[in-house]
Amino acid sequence: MDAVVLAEMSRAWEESRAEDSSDRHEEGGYIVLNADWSYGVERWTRGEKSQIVPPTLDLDNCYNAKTVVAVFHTHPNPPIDEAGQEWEQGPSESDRRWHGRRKLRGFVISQSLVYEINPNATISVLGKRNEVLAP
Amino acid sequence: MILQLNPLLEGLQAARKAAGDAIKPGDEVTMDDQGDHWIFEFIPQGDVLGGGARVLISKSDFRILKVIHSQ
Repeated sequence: MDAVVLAEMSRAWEESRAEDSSDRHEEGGYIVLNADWSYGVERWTRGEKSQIVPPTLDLDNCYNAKTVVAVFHTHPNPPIDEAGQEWEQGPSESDRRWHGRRKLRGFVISQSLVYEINPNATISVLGKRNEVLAP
Repeated sequence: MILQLNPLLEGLQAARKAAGDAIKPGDEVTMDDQGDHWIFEFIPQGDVLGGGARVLISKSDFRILKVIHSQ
């Protein structure tokens, strides 16, 4: 994967503060195609503990006049948290619905794994987080 | 004798209660019949990623088997 994109995905994970039970929250961004055909990332505003709202896309999946080629966001809650609540690690139904509506590929970064949401909303495991996001 | 007018509806109500703050009144709900239990999935409305919950509940006594929060 592109080094700039990997670095932004890693930064998003760090900023999610998954280790902090009182401050963990979702982060995310659009992976865009720049005018010079390089990849860039347009980060979103901070999400909440278990959800995030991506900024609105144009009808042709453009954001800030750049074509969005993929999307990523974090799932910072552990499988079982400090209060004993169980958390789904992979993409949720609303994740699948969002990607399926826009036919956009996506990546979900969880504590252990990185998941891929395909444009048809099917899900696969890309690999272990620390391996996928390794520089 | 306990009169159950609509077991599925009672199951849904128990699932809503079990999910608590993880769900909102307007959430979309799907149900998957697994024979001895139901799986209710609560999916937030709108263009949001994450939120909601999945609740597994016994058909026979409406016992909550599991609550899994979505993110």
